[in-house]
Amino acid sequence: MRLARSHRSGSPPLKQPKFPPEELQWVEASPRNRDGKAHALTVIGPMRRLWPLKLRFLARRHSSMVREWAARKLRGLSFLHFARWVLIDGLPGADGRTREPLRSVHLYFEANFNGGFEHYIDAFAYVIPGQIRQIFGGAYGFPGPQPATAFKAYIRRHDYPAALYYSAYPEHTATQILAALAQRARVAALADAAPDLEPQAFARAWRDLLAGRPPMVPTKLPRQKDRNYAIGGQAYALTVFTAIRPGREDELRRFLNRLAESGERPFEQSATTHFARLVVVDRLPFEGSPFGEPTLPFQYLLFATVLDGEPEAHLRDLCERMPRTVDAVWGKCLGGSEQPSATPQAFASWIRANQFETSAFFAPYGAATLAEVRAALDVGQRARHLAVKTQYDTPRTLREDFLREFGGGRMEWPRP
Amino acid sequence: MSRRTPLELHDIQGNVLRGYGLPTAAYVNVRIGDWREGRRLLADLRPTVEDARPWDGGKPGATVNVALSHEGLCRLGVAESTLSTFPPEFRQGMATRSEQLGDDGRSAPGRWENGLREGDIHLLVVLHAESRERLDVQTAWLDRRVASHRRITMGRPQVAEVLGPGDDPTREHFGYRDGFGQPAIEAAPGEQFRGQGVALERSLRPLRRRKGFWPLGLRPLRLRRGWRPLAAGEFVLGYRDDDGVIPPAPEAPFGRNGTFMVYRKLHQDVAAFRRLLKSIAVKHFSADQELAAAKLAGRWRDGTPVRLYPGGDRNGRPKLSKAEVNDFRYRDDQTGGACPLGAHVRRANPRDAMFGGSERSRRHRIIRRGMPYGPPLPSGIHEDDGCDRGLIFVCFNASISRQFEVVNRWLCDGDPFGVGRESDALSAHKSGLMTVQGNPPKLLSLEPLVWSCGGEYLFQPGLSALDALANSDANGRLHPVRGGGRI
Repeated sequence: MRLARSHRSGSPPLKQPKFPPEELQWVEASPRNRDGKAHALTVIGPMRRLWPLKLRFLARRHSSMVREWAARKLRGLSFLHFARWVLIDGLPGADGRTREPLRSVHLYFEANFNGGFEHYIDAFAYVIPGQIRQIFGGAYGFPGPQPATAFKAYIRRHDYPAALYYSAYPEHTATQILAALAQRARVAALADAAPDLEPQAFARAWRDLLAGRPPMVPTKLPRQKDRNYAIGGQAYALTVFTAIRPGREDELRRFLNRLAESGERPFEQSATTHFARLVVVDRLPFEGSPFGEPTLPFQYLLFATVLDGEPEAHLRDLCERMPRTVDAVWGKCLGGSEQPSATPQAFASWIRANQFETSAFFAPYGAATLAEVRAALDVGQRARHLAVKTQYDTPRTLREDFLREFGGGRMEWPRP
Repeated sequence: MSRRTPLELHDIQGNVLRGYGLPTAAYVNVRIGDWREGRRLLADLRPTVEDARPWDGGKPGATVNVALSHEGLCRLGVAESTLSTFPPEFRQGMATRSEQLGDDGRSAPGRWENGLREGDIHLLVVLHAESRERLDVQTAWLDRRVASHRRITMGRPQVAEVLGPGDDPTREHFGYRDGFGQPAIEAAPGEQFRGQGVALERSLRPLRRRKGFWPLGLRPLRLRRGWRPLAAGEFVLGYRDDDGVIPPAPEAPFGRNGTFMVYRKLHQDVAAFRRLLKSIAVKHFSADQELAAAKLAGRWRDGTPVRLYPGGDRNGRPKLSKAEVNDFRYRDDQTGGACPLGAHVRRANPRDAMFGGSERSRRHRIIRRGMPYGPPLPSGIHEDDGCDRGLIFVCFNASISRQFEVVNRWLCDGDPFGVGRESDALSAHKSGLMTVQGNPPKLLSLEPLVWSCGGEYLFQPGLSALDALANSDANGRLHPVRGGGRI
């Protein structure tokens, strides 16, 4: 329908970009993409022929210092728990192990973030447009980070809703965790020093501790050889695609639906999983590349997780702690047995065979294990309660209360 | 700016780009039971609807504006193919978006007032008037108009009026002067002041001197920090937004000169606020209630920003002019030493407070046109008298999910500001804590003060779209009127 009234100056009416209604609707509305305050973003997009070369070059060239410097703005934004990008050049074929090359390399980007989608993508588009362009620049259909409206539409077009999404600390944000980790170190230092401090000096130190804000950017971190590990940390990014056995897709979907609807959290059994997502990929996005529309021989299950330490030990641990889920999910995939949990070592090596190497892994607190994160959050909460309770106490009472709460000199980091 | 498009003020409804400044208002819900009669009523009201052109002959005594909910558009028989081009949050409505809005507990949709619940509001007629008597005349006029149509009913008018005396009309029930946070809009009529638009980073700009003053055209550069107005497309559909593109909009004729309106009735517990203020002042601020109120809001109750005058010395605080009262930034107050990180105004309009500067906040601004309702609680009273009082919150924006919902989320969640789960003291409907930064920081215990009584997401169409609605046929197809706009 034409506009009711043309432009006053006589110029033709401005052309409005048309987005189909489904693009306006983001799948955040799907409760599956959320776990408490954590939101999942899973983007897969095809790339132009030479772009993966550039990304591979960038990923290898960057020393850890350079990468940390490049990530300083992302740290400053402070709403990302973990993010990664991975190059998907092929997917498992009929034997469930050997990779069949895709006609164009696809970029896989995942984020675990806090806050609303609108605010999150706006921050990406306006604060780190250069880095977004550096990563997505060669993807078909990528309109550029600005205007953000078109960028959001691109993300919506390429976003996959998670069938199951798990966060180990759903009620806490990345900012809270970073602050808690920094505060825990200070509380531990104060707890060590407290018995020898005069009450007045202790009160000063305690108030300085409460008034201080944690530094955002670490100065120097050791380089990791395995790029799946966080720089300077032990958090590991595992990205796995397995082909689903033909005819078993609906069964798998039904199981994942039931799991999500029942509110069961199988990954809670694992003491080394920070975040995990299971996504059923039944199509690849098509943006008019010269290679034509990609067709997938199978539907695929994407398993992406952030874990502590060794991936093989973690996978064996999953078999032990959540065998029912492992069997119900990966038993329906090609290449493994019907009951993978019965043979943990075989399961671990099969999953590792289908793993994709992480090109870049952003992990602001990748040095802390899950147990350490939980302990730090607990200390943060106790310190806050103490601060509320004692804010106008005398220094002597304050020191006594503090020592009662944090038992001077007895704070140990927990070991998983 | 060369890309600037003149605004079609004759087609945009009034009160969006510039407030009327009239002291009373009535929000009347008209329920539509028959699409033909509904359209006839719209056609009836259409000649009286005020547009956005400046008043040449002085301020009128009364004005009329209309807005429609998704339910209202459905009941007027607008075709599904057209409705599907409206954004999802508008189609879902305020009650369905309660999770995004944090409306739980006392604010939960199940506890909303009759007439403000899901699907209750169809057509909202907003009447403004110069006096209460004139408003009554207007309401009676609307009643007669509505009564002349079958199966159209009118709800109880929600009256709102300014509380303060003539010289200080902008006070709300908690005693703060309100309405400072309005954005400056490019090409909009009316005065605009520093601090209302987008804070620009420090940049090199040529020194302003007449042409030819400097030899060889070499103009020296100077480091300057300025402000710029927001693009009109942030608030009115069909214009370039702050990114320089025309944002997605509903199908014509709704896609031009319309805007989305958020209508929300917020109850304020004034007695609880006074008790809270007294207790935190005694505990933390040497019984200085004004200082306590200023730290909660980020502005002193007379409107002076705490960022500029953080101390308790009342005599050292000059009365600021309109041009000065918004001219401040948070960049040099990253630790919250002057204005607390979780203060109300710092959340509602963070300027350059967040990492990334004003880029993080410029796409999340709203035009506020609310007004208090209910009688003021007499001063000195600390117990609730049972009267219903609060704020009729009205705001305009081009995208409810990007603008209003994000600002509302900032009020409920302190995480983007580094204060964890703390929520805003002045709009919290739950108990909680607020940190006033400093050494040592003060930890204030908060009480529930404000809760939502209901509301709706509405669409305020342009006048030509109203014409088209009034002339649509039985299939819901709309017929744009040639030469629409002012009759």
